Amino acid sequence: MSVDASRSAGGGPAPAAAPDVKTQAQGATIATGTEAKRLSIDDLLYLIRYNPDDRGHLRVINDDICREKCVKYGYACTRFCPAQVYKWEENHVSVSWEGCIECGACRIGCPFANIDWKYPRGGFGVSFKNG
Amino acid sequence: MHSVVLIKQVPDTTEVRMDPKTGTLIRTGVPSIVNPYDVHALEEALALRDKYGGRVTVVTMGPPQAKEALRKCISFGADEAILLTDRAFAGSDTLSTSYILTQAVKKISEQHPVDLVLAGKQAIDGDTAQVGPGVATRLGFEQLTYVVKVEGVDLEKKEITVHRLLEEGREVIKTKLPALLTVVKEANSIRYGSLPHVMRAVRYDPPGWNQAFIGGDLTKMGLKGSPTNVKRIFPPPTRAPGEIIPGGKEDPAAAAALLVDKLTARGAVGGKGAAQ
Amino acid sequence: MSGNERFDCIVVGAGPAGTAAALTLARAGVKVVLFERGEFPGAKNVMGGVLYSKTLNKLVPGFWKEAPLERPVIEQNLWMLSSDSVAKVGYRSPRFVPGHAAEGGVPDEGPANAFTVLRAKFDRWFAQKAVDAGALLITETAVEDLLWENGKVVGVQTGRDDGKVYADAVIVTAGLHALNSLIPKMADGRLGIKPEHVALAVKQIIALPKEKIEDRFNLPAGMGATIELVGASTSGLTGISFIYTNADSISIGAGAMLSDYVKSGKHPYDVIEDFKAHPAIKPLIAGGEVKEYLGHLIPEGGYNAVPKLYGDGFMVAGDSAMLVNSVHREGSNLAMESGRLAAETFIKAKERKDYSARSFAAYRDALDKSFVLKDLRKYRGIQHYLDSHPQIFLSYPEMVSEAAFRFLNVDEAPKAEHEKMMVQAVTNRRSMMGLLSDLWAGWRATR
Ligand SMILES: Cc1cc2nc3c(=O)[nH]c(=O)nc-3n(C[C@H](O)[C@H](O)[C@H](O)COP(=O)(O)OP(=O)(O)OC[C@H]3O[C@@H](n4cnc5c(N)ncnc54)[C@H](O)[C@@H]3O)c2cc1C
Ligand code: SF4
Ligand code: SF4
Repeated sequence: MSVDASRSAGGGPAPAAAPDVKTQAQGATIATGTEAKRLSIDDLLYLIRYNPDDRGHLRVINDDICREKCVKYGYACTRFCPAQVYKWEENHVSVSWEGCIECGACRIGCPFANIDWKYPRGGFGVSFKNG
Repeated sequence: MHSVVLIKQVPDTTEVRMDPKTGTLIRTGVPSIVNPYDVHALEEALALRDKYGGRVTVVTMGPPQAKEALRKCISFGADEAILLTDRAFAGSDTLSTSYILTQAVKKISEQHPVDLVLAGKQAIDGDTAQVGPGVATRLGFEQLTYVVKVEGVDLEKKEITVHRLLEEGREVIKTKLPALLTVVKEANSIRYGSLPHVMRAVRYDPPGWNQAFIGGDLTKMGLKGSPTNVKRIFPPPTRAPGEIIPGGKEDPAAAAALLVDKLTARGAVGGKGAAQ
Repeated sequence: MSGNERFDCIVVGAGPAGTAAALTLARAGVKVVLFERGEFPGAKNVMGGVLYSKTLNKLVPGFWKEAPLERPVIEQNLWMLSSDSVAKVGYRSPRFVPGHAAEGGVPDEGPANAFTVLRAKFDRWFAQKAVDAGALLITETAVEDLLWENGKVVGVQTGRDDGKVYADAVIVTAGLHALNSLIPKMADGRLGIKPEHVALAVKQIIALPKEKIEDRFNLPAGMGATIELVGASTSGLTGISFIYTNADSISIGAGAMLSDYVKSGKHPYDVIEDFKAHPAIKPLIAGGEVKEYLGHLIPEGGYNAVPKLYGDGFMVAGDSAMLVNSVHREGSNLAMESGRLAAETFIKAKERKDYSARSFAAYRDALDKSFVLKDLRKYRGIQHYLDSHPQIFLSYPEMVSEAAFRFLNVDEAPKAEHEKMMVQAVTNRRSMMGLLSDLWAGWRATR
């Protein structure tokens, strides 16, 4: 399976449709030793500057839909969100909106349009230093 | 009710890194913000204005770039925002800064008498918490630090009642105006400025006040008036991380035994040392 | 108060499209307000980082003497990565960088063909040009809705108290997501972006000393290179990766169709970390410190996904109008051009005092005649092409790698044999003509 369980930080099962490709690039990390450390999503998020709002801007509309319909996608948002905002927690998807980098992928990518998506209020949210 | 809020533009310390070799702060490319505690002081002042009417004047001492911080305050709804800027102010420590700010507050009072001065609990770039109290002392105002709530103001009697956040709990104090408050973050949540305020802020050019304008004793300002000597800045020595003993939930007895073993090994419990 | 202040024109979003529009309007004396939701223009914006000079130079002549640019691009490359190898095609020419070849100083002769840029810095500078020309820039303020009266757009509703602002017309340049929030209300309902219409790109900024960058990329001092990659760089997803040299950092990123992400269940941060660990990539970034991690969507719908571009009281430009040259590299220049043309249309409409759809139809005509829609039309089939030729992204890089290896490997077999084997390696999987035409079209598509 291409989705290496140990790295599926977003949790949830691998999607049924995942193609069976294991790129050798993944193999290469094992051999790289110490010098270029593979960065985890937490390492990466730590580098980002945020102006956090005191209220969330993202909401999963209906937990039942995630539970009942999205298993076959491995709970899609928990996988493709580049900031790991969504995590599968036993029976629902939790939303750590503070880490959102506002790409909007979840708004378009949720197979069931089950995410109430907004930008944070003007002035809040991610503030890139380089872009 | 006229409140003056003292603010400071600071580097966003969440973005500041320390150069491990020289021990100095790397400030280049670090965005500037209004000292977060000061924003809570401003919010408190605006809330008082909402309730009792009057005006809110913001003051900062700093280079021309600090106008950005003042505009930010206007965008929340402050009436006026003044920049104290002069070569003579450069290099001021907390003693001299409180002197200069005191002069400014006196100057402001000439037009609109000041009932209340507010400042943040401390600035995040120095953490001294000295400037607010310094200004209060010089002005002869009642001094209320670590204010977490303003219970109310009695405009007739010229009295204010506040809650102070202390380590042991809260203290409720009533005192005479004029007074100076330093405010903690827990005091309030910051408002979201209205569009008219935000648009006013963009066009607002803060008046710049120099030494000649606010007057005062030149020898008490800037480098001359600053006896503080910074000998060395260094990061606190890194301590070895603590250890978490696992399995406490599943098997408390085993975890406790492991803890005792570890402590015994270090001579912290048992043995001769601890028995006495 | 100013909440009721009236403007001639409101521009929503201070990216390349919005700023180009506001700048053009302000110069013509139009009373214009430019709204930006970020802390400053650029704070929310991400691109790979190649900015083409021609369009910008029309707006700010001599821009390269003052803009915060990273490096003039002297060399462009296309790499095909297989799992452990790489085939490279590239072109370097001093003609890309007239004047810049002379060491030091800023050349007077003219801009390089393209520069690498970092958007947080570039957008901020660019927006300041509009402010200097007289536009009112309001940051930290999001436009949440358009205001309508009798079927006409008459202003915007911002997300602040007393947040309505009125104007004769609104130019929407709020990036891709305006498509689902601001625009559906005014368009014909055929909208709604699908995962097949966008690529999800993640990127990292990796700091490296100038000299190291010039050594590793074999660059003259101050010059830059671009590398686009297909193949194993996106972990088997349909997409393109990039490596661009900045002044003292590298922009490295990977973009793949969102639909592929949904299907595969991969994590974008794994895709980019895998890419960085590829044996051909690792040495380029070794020892560098990762400074920032970013992500953004790229509209990939192409010509067929372009929405309604204007109506009574409004026009749409840039990413909001899906005006991106499908395969990654051109978007900012199309945004600037479309923003400028929308502004010019407004200026003419103002003379007639006619802000109706009929009046703004001139915007569509101008786009049709400009490179913006000409290019998009030219590549109109490319989306379909890529969908039906997944081998471009997946098996070709492996094939090319195989063929190159056989050709170049010294094993004492006669050279003629090698050529035959090479042809075999390729034709085993696809016909020779098919290969050539695929590659040709593919290469053209990325240009
Ligand atoms: C990874 C990546 C690599 C790319 N590489 C290149 C490249 O190398 N060269 C190239 O030319 N193009 C490239 N592009 C495409 C290019 O970035 C875009 O086409 C271009 O930025 C579009 O400009 P725009 O002004 O239309 O939109 P944007 O740049 O998205 O600007 C929109 C602005 O509007 C603001 N905004 C959004 N909503 C609101 C609201 N409701 N209220 C107020 N403000 C709002 C945003 O904060 C933003 O500042 C790349 C894109 C990506 C994602
Ligand atoms: S992608 Fe949509 S349906 Fe699936 S888990 Fe996330 S929110 Fe639920
Ligand atoms: S907008 Fe992007 S970063 Fe934010 S939650 Fe959605 S997918 Fe994640």
